[in-house]
Amino acid sequence: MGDAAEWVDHLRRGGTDPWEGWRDGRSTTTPDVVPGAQQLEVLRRLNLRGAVDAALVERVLAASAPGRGTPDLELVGNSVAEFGPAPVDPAAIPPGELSRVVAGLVAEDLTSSSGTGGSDPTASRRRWWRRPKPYRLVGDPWLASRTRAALSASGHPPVGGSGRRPKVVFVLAPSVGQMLVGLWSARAFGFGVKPWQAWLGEALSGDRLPRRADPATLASGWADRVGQDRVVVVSDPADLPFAFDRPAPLSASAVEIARLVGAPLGLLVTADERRRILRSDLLPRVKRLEGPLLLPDDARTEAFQQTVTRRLERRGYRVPVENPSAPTVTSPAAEDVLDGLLGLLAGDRR
Amino acid sequence: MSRRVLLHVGTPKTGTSYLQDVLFRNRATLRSHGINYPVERHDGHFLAALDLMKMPWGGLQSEAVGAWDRLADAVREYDKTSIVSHEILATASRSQAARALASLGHEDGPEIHLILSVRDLTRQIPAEWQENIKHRSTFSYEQFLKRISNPARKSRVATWFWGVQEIPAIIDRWAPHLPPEQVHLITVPPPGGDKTELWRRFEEGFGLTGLDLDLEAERANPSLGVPETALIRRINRTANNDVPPEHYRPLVRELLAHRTLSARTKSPRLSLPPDLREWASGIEQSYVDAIERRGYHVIGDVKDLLGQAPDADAWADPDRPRERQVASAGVAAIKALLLENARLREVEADLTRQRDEANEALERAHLRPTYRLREKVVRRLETSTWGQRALRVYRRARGRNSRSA
Repeated sequence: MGDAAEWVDHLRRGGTDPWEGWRDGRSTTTPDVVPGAQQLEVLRRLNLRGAVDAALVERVLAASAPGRGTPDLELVGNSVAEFGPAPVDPAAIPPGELSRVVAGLVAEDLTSSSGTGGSDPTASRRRWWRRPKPYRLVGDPWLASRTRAALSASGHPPVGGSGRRPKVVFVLAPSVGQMLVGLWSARAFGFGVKPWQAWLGEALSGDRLPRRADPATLASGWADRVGQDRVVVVSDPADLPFAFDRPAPLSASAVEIARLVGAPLGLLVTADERRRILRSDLLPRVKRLEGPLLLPDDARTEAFQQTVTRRLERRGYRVPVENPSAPTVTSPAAEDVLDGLLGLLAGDRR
Repeated sequence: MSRRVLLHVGTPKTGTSYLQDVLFRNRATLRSHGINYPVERHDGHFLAALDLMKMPWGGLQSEAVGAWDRLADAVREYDKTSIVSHEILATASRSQAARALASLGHEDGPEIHLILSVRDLTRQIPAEWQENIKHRSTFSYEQFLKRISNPARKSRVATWFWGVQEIPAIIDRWAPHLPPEQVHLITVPPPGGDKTELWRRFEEGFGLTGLDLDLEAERANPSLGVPETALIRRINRTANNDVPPEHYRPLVRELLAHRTLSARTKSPRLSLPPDLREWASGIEQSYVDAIERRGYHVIGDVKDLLGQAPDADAWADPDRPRERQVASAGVAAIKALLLENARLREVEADLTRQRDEANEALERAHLRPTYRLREKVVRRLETSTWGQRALRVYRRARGRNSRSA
């Protein structure tokens, strides 16, 4: 048994020594056939978090990262292949590549543990025996969705879709940057979306904001339908006239995890089931993940913000726009995302 | 359990669409000769490959769930020769390939033969870029070449390209434990030769020689010229955000690219830029050396993998095409879309007429006195909460859905 096979054995038994230290500069001309470097590094990182049960060990070693991307890589010092990708030091593999492997495993776990009728916590639940003053809540796609669910749980469900004319329409309009994050988040927890930077670039490439991230368009649209006197624009759920448990914002890593897991999940279940599982099963787990919030910080977003503010003011809405006081980042941090995914995978077995 | 499994895993742009079309249309005939091509729809093995590699593909992946296991079951249940064929299998990882082989019964006895149809890189490189464009890509030829020629191969484009084109590495992933006589390479003949030669080589590789098969092509993957490819790329840049994949495929890929623009065969052809010839030929030679050294079975000539030097005078840059040629292709595309639109309008008019006739028949039925009375009662009940509850109880008791249309 060569160095590589012995190292795999070491990892199987819970070891955490990196490969480069293990092989100590040696290379072989008769390489062992071992799992890919990505899988081995994922197992090593799981071992660093604590004991990993035998079934999960084997699942990790047999997993390939779903979708397109870097194939299984050979270990540096354990490969004489003249073709294929260059062999690597597993510890040097970018966290994004490791996340692909883990996301596939987390998706499998979600499908095997998910019930068939779990409720979507972002869906409104109405208590049929109550007839609240009819109102609607629209605006930031993700924040409004979660706020509606929280309001319903607190006994203040909105009327949306019932056919009843609302007495008031609340337009939840934080900053344009937050609304863009909200739209991206709603899709990450839905039917899928591109990576943040690529999506943001497309969203800001035209003359107009995406409709669902444009509070001025939303407010004027509803004003045309129900009358301007029935539309109230607020920048924060705390400004709504109800007592309820406000949903805490999700960290950038949490949303990115949903996006990454959603992709392989979509290969295992139908699109609707994917959305349901992400919102009812994954969301409760990732909302515990701490970390900075996602917020764009570029001139284009700022320019759109100024335009939106002027349009709202022309309609008579004076809405203070404040960015979150919590720390923010302009992109999810790859290491934080990987750490969150490993925690989900390890936590499923505890 | 199948006696033999012919596992054809690549490579793209080597006549695989035609082969799979022939296999699909002749599957009953093949079966009568002891050859099993287990598939229920023409893209069955494609969906199975997507499922095996957990690969998204413009929404199609939702139809692929479980497809690989169903295919493997059908192969294991047959006791003669089975064929599995799709070119994207080339990019399967070692783990995915091992899982595939195990599911086909590799360790239990059937003889697995790995087949690759292969072509020189000089032709594969422009063909792969064009295939990217026909799948909604927007990057230029120059960007594509830069990515695939970067030795680091870190971009998704490079990872995919070399994953499906690097012949020795594909074999390393799929057949680390197969003897060389069970690895077969079918080489695509050089351009300008007998057009039937490639099919003759496929016949030899898949044991189809002498069988009376319908060889008329219904599906093919025809190539486009330089101005046509430039046009599709411009369409992608303008329309990708607005045209969803389920409409892009039939309208752009099938109607425009395959049925309209591919007929324009007099336009300049895509080729490798002269300044990359030396780089490509070095890699081609390394493949030839490896294949000869490893002793694989070659149907054709391994030297077919050494591409012909492109004519430097005939080089036409698809990133800077002649605008008059692109405009001409554009007019042809508009005409095709107008004709298709006209056809769809006729279909819509016909469906509207049928709908109106059905509505009239329904109205006549509604005019019957007993129907009107029942409808009145139901409407009255639906306006109150107690009435709605009574209706629910009534419908449950009836045991079927009695709601009005």
